[in-house]
Amino acid sequence: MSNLYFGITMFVCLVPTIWIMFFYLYPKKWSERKQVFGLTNRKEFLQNSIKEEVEAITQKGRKRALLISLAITLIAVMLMLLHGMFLQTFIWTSFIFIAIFIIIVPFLLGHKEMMTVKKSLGLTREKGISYVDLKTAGNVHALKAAPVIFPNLAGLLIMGLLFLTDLGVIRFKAYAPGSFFGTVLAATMFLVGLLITLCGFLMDRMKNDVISTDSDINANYNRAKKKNWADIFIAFLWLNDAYMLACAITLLLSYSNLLATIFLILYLILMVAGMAVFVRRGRKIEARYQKETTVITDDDECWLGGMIYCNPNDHRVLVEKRAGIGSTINIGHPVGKAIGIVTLLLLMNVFVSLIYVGLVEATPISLRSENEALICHQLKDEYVITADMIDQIELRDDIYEHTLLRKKGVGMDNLLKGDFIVDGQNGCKVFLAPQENLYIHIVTKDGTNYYVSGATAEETQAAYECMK
Amino acid sequence: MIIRIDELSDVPIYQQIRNQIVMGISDGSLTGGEQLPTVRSLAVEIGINTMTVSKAYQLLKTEGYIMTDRKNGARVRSRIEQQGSISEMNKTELKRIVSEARISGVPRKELLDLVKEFYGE
Repeated sequence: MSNLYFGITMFVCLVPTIWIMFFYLYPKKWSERKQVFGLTNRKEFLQNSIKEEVEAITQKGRKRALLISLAITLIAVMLMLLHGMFLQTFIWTSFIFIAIFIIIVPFLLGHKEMMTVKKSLGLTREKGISYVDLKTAGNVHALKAAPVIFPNLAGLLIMGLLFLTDLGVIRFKAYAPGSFFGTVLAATMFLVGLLITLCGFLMDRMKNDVISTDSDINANYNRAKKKNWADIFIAFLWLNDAYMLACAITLLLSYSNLLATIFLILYLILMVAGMAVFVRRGRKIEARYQKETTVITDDDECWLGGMIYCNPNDHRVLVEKRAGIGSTINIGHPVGKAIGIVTLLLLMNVFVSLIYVGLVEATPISLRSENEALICHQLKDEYVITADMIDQIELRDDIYEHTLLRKKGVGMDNLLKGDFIVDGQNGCKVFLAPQENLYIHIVTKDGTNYYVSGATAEETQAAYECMK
Repeated sequence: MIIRIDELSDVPIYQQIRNQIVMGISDGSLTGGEQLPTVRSLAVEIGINTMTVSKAYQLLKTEGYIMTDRKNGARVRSRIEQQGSISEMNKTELKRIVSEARISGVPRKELLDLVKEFYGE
């Protein structure tokens, strides 16, 4: 069942993102956009014969992207049927990278074709020219402190509630105090909220665009854009709180994997829906102000492929994206270069981690009795329970009747290993091949509960017989 | 008021900022008492070092075009001291422009018309 949950979660993450990218990068009405395939949309492109040429390029790109988006959706549906943790994680992760790259290929091809059109028109960039409106510089903001503080305070309250529960000050039947599982989860979500807040303020302080010689038009355009940003960040902050609250309720009242997954999927769906609304509003703003644009700042040569910004003369590290949502780094800046390298290393690390996941999944666990001690072993992890430690020992076959909540360790379909909360009891050590159902439950003299099994029922039975 | 910065020009950026603010005050785009952006925000908008903007503002302050204080930042002076004469440096610059125009065959009237236009007559 967890295979299906994972598949649905990945599907909800990937497919709507691809469609948002499709509608954002490949617009139907290119003349209303500020850029065409990452190139500044110039008035010269609207001349009769050129207009037809640009129309053909954009339509070709849109058609290609539509086919790619449909193919990605279809493949994603099929991938939901995959089984096996490693296979699923590896294929989904690789597919996400490939899908995001493939959907931008028509954009890169379109960018190349548009560069040729621009060259044929003799349009060159005014090198090193930039415009600043003294009336809007540093003055246009849409994100106020209060709407950001309240959702962060709400998040802090939820975190406080879980912390007090962990300390045992407040008690809930289904939650084991002292595990700090809930506190850590809430703290993570709270940090996500803080990160959203930081991104919000960074976007609110982005450079104001100069599109007209009229300062009022510039101010209104930048305010509209920043208001759109502010709204989405505030919505994400409240959404983050709602998800945090849903997780807290699930944990404190009655934990269920199904409910947790439903909340996660709902959270992702609402997030994607928010992005879709944001993109739609952004496009409307662009279309509205495209008609009033009289000042063209053409820095196309600084945008590699219309997507990556590289301008060593620009002191800014973060700039607003041309293609896509949010900001991007200036790789011409030393700090930008460092961030780029770290990001690449992190992406590579994803695949290294996946190899480790594969190793964990493929290596069978072993359970044996040796010198009056029960030894559980897999890869570098080992539990040794000596006979004199044991207070109670019993062989059981009801593992699926227990609720196991992983605190630290591995939770796969064929392997549960590490520190778990079992039926609300904190500090349980688990070392199980759950598909076998048969397991040994040991309570040691210090009160620790062990739930262990071998790779097969026979191995578990044999180990139990020796220790009994 | 829009400022146009040319990074590749021989004129230093601080001088370009200073010149355009002076032109803005002269043609009325910037009025007396009008707030100018802070050094930091203008530097961020142009994508240059804050020291460059600070130098431009310092120059404008020394020349009496703007005033700065910690509370209100930089503002255009409401009353700019009128000396009634052209500085020696500007005279030399004007002489250079007139000479270049004469060599290029620009008629005297055209040049004078331009001066009148810029002067606002």
